[in-house]
Amino acid sequence: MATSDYYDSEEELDLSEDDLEFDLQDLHITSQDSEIEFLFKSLTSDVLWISIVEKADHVAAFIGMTRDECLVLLQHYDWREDKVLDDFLSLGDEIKVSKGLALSSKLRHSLPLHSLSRICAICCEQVDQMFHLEQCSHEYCVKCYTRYLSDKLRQQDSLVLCMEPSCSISVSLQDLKALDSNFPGKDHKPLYDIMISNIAKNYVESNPKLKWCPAPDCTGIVQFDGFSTYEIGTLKEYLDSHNLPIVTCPYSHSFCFACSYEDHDPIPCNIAKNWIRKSKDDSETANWIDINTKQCPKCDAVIEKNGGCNHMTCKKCAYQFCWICLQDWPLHGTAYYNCSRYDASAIKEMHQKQQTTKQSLKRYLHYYKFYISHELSAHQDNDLFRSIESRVQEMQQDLGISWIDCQFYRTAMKLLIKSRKVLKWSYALLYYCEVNNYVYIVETNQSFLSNSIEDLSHLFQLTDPKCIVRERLQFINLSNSMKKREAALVEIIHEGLKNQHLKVT
Amino acid sequence: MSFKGKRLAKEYKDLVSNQVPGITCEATDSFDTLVIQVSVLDNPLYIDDSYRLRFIFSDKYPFSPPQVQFIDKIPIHPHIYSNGHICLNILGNDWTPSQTVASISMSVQSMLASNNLNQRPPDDDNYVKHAPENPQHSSFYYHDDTV
Repeated sequence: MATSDYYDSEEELDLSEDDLEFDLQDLHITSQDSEIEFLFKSLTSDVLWISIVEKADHVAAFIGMTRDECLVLLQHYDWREDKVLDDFLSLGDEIKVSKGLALSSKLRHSLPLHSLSRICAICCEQVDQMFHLEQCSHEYCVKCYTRYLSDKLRQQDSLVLCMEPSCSISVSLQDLKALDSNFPGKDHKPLYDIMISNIAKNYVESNPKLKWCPAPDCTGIVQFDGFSTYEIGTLKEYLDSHNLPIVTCPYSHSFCFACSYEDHDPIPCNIAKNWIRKSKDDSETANWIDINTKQCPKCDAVIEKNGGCNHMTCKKCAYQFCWICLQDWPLHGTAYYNCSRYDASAIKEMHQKQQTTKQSLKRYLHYYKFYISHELSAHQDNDLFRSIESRVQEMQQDLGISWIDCQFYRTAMKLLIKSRKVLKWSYALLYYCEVNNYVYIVETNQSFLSNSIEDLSHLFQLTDPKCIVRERLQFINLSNSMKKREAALVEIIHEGLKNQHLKVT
Repeated sequence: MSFKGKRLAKEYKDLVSNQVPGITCEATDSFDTLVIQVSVLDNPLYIDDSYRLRFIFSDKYPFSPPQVQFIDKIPIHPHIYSNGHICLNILGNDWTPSQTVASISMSVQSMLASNNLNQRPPDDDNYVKHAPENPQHSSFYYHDDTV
């Protein structure tokens, strides 16, 4: 996998993992064909902008226009240079008119003269400074033009036209620079910068090989560069052969390139997606209400029966009814506590149905509990990770240890976060799997990994640099054994999915 | 006077002084709403009628479009829903602050004038049932730009 930097810890220590090996051998798991790499490059938005400009310059050199003009043209043609050139060859300079870069000669003659009145048609104020785009002369005051453009740019438009409804001239980067120069203050976010990020956004969205990092506020981009072997040509083939394109953005957020969700190795995108949807919406709450409560037949108050007999008295309206058949209680006569007013089989059926829903809910909650607790711990680990820098520095300074000798601490934390992720997702997977012996094997491996994680996590409770350094070997040992158990779990799940030992329902 | 007030005062003055055939502005004492009477002279579908077009201006006007809809009698047109909402691009995404009450009224008028289909939009029933109060909160699917 391309995220190999997780696996480069210094020492390989042999640890007891005999029971684990045993499971693997029993299943004849081989890993010879799971090594197809998904190649990618991580780009920052600055690097991306350089390649966008290069592209525009390339076209500009061919058709003799400016870079700004080519940026507009390329957006009109979904960034396909060949299409721009084709149209340029057939249309010539007419292409400028049709894509809002120049006015047709007819329109040019009907342009209004620079008005002397200096009254802006938008705000109807007398103003000192009017503004118009370089290519047309529809004048409005600087303030109104800026407000119009910042509204438009905030909607992430990258092709914005002149304010005059009949005018089709595009606003260029030059125009924005000219406008920005009127607001030198710090509280003005330059329109030029917003436009650049909008153009970049347009570029990334029109190119299936590029993806934004989905982490909040992250501006990193990942570029897909093919596979390590020619046997696989498309992303779909790659996914179908049970691989996951996990990538890392320049700010080290890892995510899945196929579904743009966080790294959900080892489980497939569709299961991860279902799980996320399920755990996000509160349909399960509704399910619970459905199973555990009924409404009072008179006043519709929601009632949860938490014990006692079936003779209910509504707290709200004092209506007396039977919990089972929801009928008036006096109708039951002497058959206290036992409703026999209905066909027994119908009731049994209803009970059974309720029971299965109850069981599936229980099952869900069981896995969800594990999933969410590891997710929460992962958040805490992340916070801890942020404070690690200072701890590592402390260790270096106070104890005079070299940078490289402190790496074990950072590496262990990285591995811990990764393992938690794998474990968390494996719980989500099991919810969707039919219960069989293979699931039992996965569960056994889960508990191995879980134990390792807890041990290492416990070690991270140490705060004194001296203690940490003293326990260095322990850190390395535990993280290595955890790493191996994680790899075993991943492999078992991959194999299980591939050979359909794990049956996803 | 505020931004919006000044601009609307000017628009109102222009509407009253520069009469466009078929577009009349009803007298008003507030600049939050304005009613324009639109009539179409050369289309047999609408010939004897005059329709009332109501404009509601938010404080962001003219940087956000006014809320525009027909009231009372609703003309039959493939882009006009029976609750009076109009599906017109310049009232949504393509709004620019240099559009005016007059320019919108003329757009609507020409929309009516060029129509020869005596029908409502294809999803009228469904839309009217679920439509929000303010037509700007609808995301219109522009069925067809030719009409």
